[in-house]
Amino acid sequence: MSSTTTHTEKLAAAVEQVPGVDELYPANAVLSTVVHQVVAAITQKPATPEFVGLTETHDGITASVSIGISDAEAASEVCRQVYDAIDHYFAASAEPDEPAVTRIEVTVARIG
Amino acid sequence: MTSSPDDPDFDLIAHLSDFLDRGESPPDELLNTTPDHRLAYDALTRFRSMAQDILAEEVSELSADADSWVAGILKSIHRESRVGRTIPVSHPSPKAALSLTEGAVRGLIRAAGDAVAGTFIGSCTLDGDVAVPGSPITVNVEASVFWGERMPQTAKRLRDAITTSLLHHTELNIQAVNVTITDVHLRRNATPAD
Amino acid sequence: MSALVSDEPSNLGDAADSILVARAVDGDVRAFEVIVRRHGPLMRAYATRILGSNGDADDVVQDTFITAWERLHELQDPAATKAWLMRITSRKAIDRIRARRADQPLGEWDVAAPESESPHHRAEAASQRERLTRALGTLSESQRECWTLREIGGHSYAEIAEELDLPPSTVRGLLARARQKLMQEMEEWR
Repeated sequence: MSSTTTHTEKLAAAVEQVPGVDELYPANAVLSTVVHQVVAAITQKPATPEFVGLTETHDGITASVSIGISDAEAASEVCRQVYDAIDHYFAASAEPDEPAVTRIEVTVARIG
Repeated sequence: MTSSPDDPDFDLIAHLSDFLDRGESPPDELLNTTPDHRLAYDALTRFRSMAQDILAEEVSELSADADSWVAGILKSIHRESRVGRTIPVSHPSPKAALSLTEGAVRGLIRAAGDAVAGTFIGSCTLDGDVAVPGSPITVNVEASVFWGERMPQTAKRLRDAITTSLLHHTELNIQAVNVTITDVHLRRNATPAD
Repeated sequence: MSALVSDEPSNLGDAADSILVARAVDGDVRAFEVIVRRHGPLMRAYATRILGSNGDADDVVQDTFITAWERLHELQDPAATKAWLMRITSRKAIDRIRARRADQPLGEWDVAAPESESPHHRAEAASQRERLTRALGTLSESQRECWTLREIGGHSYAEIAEELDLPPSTVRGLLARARQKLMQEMEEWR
């Protein structure tokens, strides 16, 4: 559980560093935010929405992120660079006992 | 409930109101029966026009502190409902599932159009199967142009700006950008040029 | 919250409702913001008039715009945006009235408001609006609601009857009494 939290935070930071990315949208916006607030209320911790979703499927881990970008760079290119940043993060940080990341979803929800 | 014992005029008011509410004038015979009838009818019509005016006066007072509640309203609308279809972005890795939302691309089209001076983009649609890479896509936009602009030239500038932007940002196979001028606008807050 | 589009070559504030509606249907929040700023104050004044108080009016306007955002694509004639928004506003306001009324018996609901203030005070009421507002203050709640929906909202008897869940004859009676009362009150102030 704590390693998942660490991953999502570090991933969010990696995504934000890609030139052109200026906003990350919460993964599964409404539902997860509500759950977070409930959890935070119980544990007294501030609610921080997750900006990179990690879900375990049959084949392995799926990472997903939804972003807003400026129009200074080509949108398709920024999208690919975000993929590369996430892929690179997992390649560098993967532990032997963790399931492999088999799918990385990047959605550009706003341009400019 | 058609009468009130202590109000001798009660029926008259209801009767005159019926004419007013149907958008008709009462017959002269009724109005001329006694001066009171005419007075009552004039009063009723006066209230009606006052009613139209009072809101207009209040509006300007309420506009001043608008910012906070405008922000509240914008925060509570469901933006997710306008995401639209998923437009794929290619990547050599089989792990990659990359996309732009249709909503994002529409925003791009609007921004490109708005950058052409004197125009507003209205609705815009992407015709074609945007989910399948390489499918031929036709963009249809409606636009309003500033009064006095030459429409054919403006339409061409819009087409060029939108095409350039879509080619730069997306992998869509754009076949055509159709611009329909649906409206002509003046500046709201300035006097139009002579 | 991003500022309102003032740095754009074309200021969206200059755009017609039809353009703004088309953009908002496509997901343009800034276009929707212009609609809110353009028509919101009128809707707020209208809701306040129907409800007779400010507190609920803001909620009504907020609800109205949330509904409007979801249903903008149903708006047949975007040139009629204002009328469409006003209709939703009165529906939402009436919902509040219904909820209010569920908490109190109908008898009380039609009780006349307290007597208006002293003639001396009345004479000071300068503007026409203040006078009308004072006169409206002397109506019962139900009379004022019917009058507002009819004279300001432009609803028909049948619509008011349906929305307020009253027989049309009752609406007619309430309106007639409201007008009668207003005439008396305004007469004294002439």
